[in-house]
Amino acid sequence: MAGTTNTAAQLSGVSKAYGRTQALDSFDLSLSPGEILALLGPNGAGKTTAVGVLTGGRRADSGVVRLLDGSPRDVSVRRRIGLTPQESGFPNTLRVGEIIRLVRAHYPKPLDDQRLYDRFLLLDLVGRQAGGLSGGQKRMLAVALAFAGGPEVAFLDEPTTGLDVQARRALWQAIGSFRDDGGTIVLTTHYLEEAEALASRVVVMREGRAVADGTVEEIRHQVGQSRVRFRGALSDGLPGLVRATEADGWVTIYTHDADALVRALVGRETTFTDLEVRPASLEEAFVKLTRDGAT
Amino acid sequence: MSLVLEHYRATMVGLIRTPAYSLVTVLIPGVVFIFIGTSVGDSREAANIVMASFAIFAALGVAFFQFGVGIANDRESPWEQFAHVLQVSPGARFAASVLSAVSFAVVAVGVLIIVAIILTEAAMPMNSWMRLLAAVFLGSVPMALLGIAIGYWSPPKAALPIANILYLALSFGGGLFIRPSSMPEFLDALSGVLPTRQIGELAWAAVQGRAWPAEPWLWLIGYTVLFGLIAAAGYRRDEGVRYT
Repeated sequence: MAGTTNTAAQLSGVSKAYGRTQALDSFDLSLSPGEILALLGPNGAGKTTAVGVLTGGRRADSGVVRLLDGSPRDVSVRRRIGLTPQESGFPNTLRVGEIIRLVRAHYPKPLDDQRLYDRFLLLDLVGRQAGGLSGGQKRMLAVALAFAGGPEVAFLDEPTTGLDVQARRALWQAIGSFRDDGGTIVLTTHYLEEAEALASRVVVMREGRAVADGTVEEIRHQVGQSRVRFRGALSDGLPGLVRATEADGWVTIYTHDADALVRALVGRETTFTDLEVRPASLEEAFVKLTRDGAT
Repeated sequence: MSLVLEHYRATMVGLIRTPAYSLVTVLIPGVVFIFIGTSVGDSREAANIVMASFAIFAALGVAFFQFGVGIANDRESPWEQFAHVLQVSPGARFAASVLSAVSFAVVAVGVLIIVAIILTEAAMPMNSWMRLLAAVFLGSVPMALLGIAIGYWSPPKAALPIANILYLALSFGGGLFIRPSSMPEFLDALSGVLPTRQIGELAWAAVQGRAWPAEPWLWLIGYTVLFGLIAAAGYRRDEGVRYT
């Protein structure tokens, strides 16, 4: 599936403005085959534009865009990718089976439709009109369409949002077997659990730039791996401190070395109660990165 | 080619399952004809002329609503943006939408003609039928381009009222509801430059067995170029807004 390609996709110094809004600001991104990359960021961070440029729907103002060793504006390259429709705006009067049939018709080697129905739990929905589907069913159909053409790279927009547990599990499984076959995935999301559950690599975007790039672990490390919280007062000169806040009598500290911090607290004989130590969540990393823009 | 057929299939199925479009487009001209067109008297020639006028009216509905309103709605639809990225050959979807418009026009005009034959004295030699259909369908080309221009230039919510007003105004002004000979002089003069009047002149000549005058053809060619340019400019502008 992966062929001889060394990079599945690449953006180098790509800028794109809509009027005065700089959607992408000299954005760099390199994606290897087999990677599951999550583009993470709040609304307006440039995720959708980045995917638009990569899938050939949008033209970059400047910079180099490569997709599967070609240009995404080239039809023969676009035949090797799949994507979810933005929002779930299906033609309401078409049936699920008809929509899948139409999308498959655009690809030279589409995925077998029975397998597709099976993988994405669509078997019972084939004859239903898209307008009558629930939000979760529409989401499954959208993701199924990204895989319908048997692509090498799939672009997924918030794939698991609004899915129930069973559907989410089926989708994770489908994504897993796609990756095992050598497929590459770019998913855009502003939900951290989604990135945490699916992605092998996370790029955090803010104002058209990448503010962090790494594994979930590495991103977490950027704000400190641990969160230490206690009732008391914040004192100066604590070791390994990444960030500290004080509110309502609670002190919250992010640190790379919780052990050293706690030893220092005890050694100083400052009064503190209700000490709690736990790993920092990606959520916390995310909030810091997108608010401060620190790298 | 198979892609054109897949898009044609999907478009037709989608439209047929939207009775607010499909039934209205196909049946309304026939219904209006029953109310206005059947009371023209017993003359065969008069019946043929009214039938010809309403056949144009039926085809115009498809040109304005399927192209005009359809394109305007599609411009806002996220599904269209998705289809745009999927698009393998740029002409496939356009060819499919032309094919589906022709299909609807054939049914709408067919229903109208059948109603006319049953309820009125309308009848004529085969040659006249052929010329009537040629005039209706060739004359619809510039009108479809006008529909496309409306679709690309008007805001999506305004497309339906704009299409409705133009549809009725051009049908009336072109002499499809009242014969130009019974129009007041100023209206007849205005009517003389409208594209719908040119189609009418050709269709009426066909059903009366007269030779086609050259002038309406020239007008229609001019309108085809004009509306084609406006439609193309609208298409490029829209592509510029959405896909660059």
